[in-house]
Amino acid sequence: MNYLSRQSNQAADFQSPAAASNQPPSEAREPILETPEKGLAPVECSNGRPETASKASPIPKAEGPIEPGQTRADWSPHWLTHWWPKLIEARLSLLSLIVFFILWEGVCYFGIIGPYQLVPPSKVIKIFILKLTEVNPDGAYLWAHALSSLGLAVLGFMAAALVGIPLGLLMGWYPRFNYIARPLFDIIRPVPPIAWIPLAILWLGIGVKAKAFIIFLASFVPCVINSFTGIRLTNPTLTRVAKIHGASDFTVFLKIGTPSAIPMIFTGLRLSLNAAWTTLVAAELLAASQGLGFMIQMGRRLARPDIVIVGMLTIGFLGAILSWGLTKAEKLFVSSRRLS
Amino acid sequence: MGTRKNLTFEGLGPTAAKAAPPSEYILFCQGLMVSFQLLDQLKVLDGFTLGVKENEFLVVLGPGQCGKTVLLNCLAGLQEPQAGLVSFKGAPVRGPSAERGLVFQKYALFPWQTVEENVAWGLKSKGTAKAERRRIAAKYIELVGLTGFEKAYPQALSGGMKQRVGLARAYASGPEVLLMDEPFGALDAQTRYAMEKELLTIWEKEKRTVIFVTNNIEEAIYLGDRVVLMSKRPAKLKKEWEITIPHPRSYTDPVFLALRQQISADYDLVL
Ligand SMILES: Nc1ncnc2c1ncn2[C@@H]1O[C@H](COP(=O)(O)OP(=O)(O)O)[C@@H](O)[C@H]1O
Ligand SMILES: [Mg+2]
Repeated sequence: MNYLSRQSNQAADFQSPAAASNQPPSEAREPILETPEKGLAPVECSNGRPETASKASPIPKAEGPIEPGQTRADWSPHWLTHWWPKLIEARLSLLSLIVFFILWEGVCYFGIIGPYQLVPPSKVIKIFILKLTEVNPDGAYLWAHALSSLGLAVLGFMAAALVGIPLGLLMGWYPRFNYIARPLFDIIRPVPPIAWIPLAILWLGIGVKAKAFIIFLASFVPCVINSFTGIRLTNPTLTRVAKIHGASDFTVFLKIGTPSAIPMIFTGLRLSLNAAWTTLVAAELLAASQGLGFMIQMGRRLARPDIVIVGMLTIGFLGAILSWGLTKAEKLFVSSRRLS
Repeated sequence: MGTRKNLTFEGLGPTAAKAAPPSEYILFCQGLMVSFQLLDQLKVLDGFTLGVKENEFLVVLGPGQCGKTVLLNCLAGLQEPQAGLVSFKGAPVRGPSAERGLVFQKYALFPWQTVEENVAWGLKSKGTAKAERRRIAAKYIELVGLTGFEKAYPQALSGGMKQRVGLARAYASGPEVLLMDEPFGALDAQTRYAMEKELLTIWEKEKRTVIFVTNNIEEAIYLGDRVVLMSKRPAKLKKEWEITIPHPRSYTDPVFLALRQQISADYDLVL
């Protein structure tokens, strides 16, 4: 940013005599103030600029190329054109949040919705802090619930990635393998993972194993599909290059196919993580003795909307953190290895 | 694939033995027939015969979509013809081999590898030791004038530089024949002229048998010792010219222009 703005200031200095002599400032300001939509102003400016430049200065064009983005800064400082609109955007977002919380607080304060259905945000914050050091009424600290849920989700997700990615890659690369695995996979795929809960409980009981199994199924499917699609997108020319140098089919699979699939694999992982987190909460709602899903279920039974809302917000927050972490990891991995 | 009429030497019997390739040819193909089953039978090559002499710079000229890439794939061993034979140094070609290097039409570098790793790829799969790989890679990177870019990734290179890497990679695995599939087709005109010149310089330093495929008549005359012209699909060998203009050739040389006119007259237009 700094560098850019310095550049455009230089351009402004360089051009200022021409601009000052030929363009009445009021006229010049207009397009900028009028155009929060980017892209309109530069066009107008560049239409105006070359004329004035050639009239006023004998400098050949090659020495002072005017880029559309720079001409704006001739007339007004960078912060006005760049930061001001952003600030307005940020203020609008903040405003909508504030209005939302005031309405929520008001609805509770005036008793429009009763305390057994909804609690105000102020109370939610209080309960959140309290639950960090308080076991009652649902039997465990908030962080204990959160850790239990996180552990389970990550366990199922990891297992799914470890099995699903190689499976998808092999299916995508070796047609015979695909013919064998595809029908079985196609039977499992359309069954919503939650529908497995009863069977999982019959087989594995109400416990970590059953839930991990369900989460595994849920996150397994996107892993397979995306690795499969990813390796199918391998550039056939790269495959030919490898083969001409005498690489075996398996080497090509490992060294060309797999890296080509990595961007899609990450897409699959993101979908998987999402599926894992969603399914986890559903599973805990039905069969659990700990975890965030269990906590909000208890909140409902005890008619404690405060507990429910604290649980919901924690679920949302942790889910966001997880996918943020994965996106970061993806960026690091993919860009450092030039895989995209 | 099952109905392939197999015309390898063993299968041909005594009469065919007489038709064995003249020993002056390092790479030889005879009666190549390739067709694809799309909606219709699409016949691409139909009885294509071509012999390539050792260390000659042969240009195969042909209109777009006439089967030039298919021909090179057959010569490289990446594709099996339905009929006909390909032989390399007297032995039938059964599959791809590093002895016949390919330079591709599109930039075909591994984007996740540096220039050096790309160039050394073939050596690595041959099992060459690391120090030796680096030495050979450095040698050919220097040959194509990219010293200093060993650690760069392909995305940072211009089109011309990418094709130089492709050339260095083909050279590095020590091929006897270089098959080039419109290597400069994607470059802009200026870069293209520069690369043509550069290619000849490199080739003078490290002579190999080159089969250079192009659809550009000027490029063909500029580069080739010999130019063979393919007809439009189904492709046959239409005509052949020996080009004896000494290097460096000039695009405005009267002999060049006369030749250009001659070839244009025979060039099939495909719209
Ligand atoms: N694997 C394939 N399957 C079907 N058709 C193909 C295949 N490869 C090439 N063709 C067809 O063969 C014809 C010749 O292709 P190609 O050799 O690539 O032409 P060019 O001379 O431009 O290199 C084209 O019409 C193309 O569509
Ligand atoms: Mg082609």
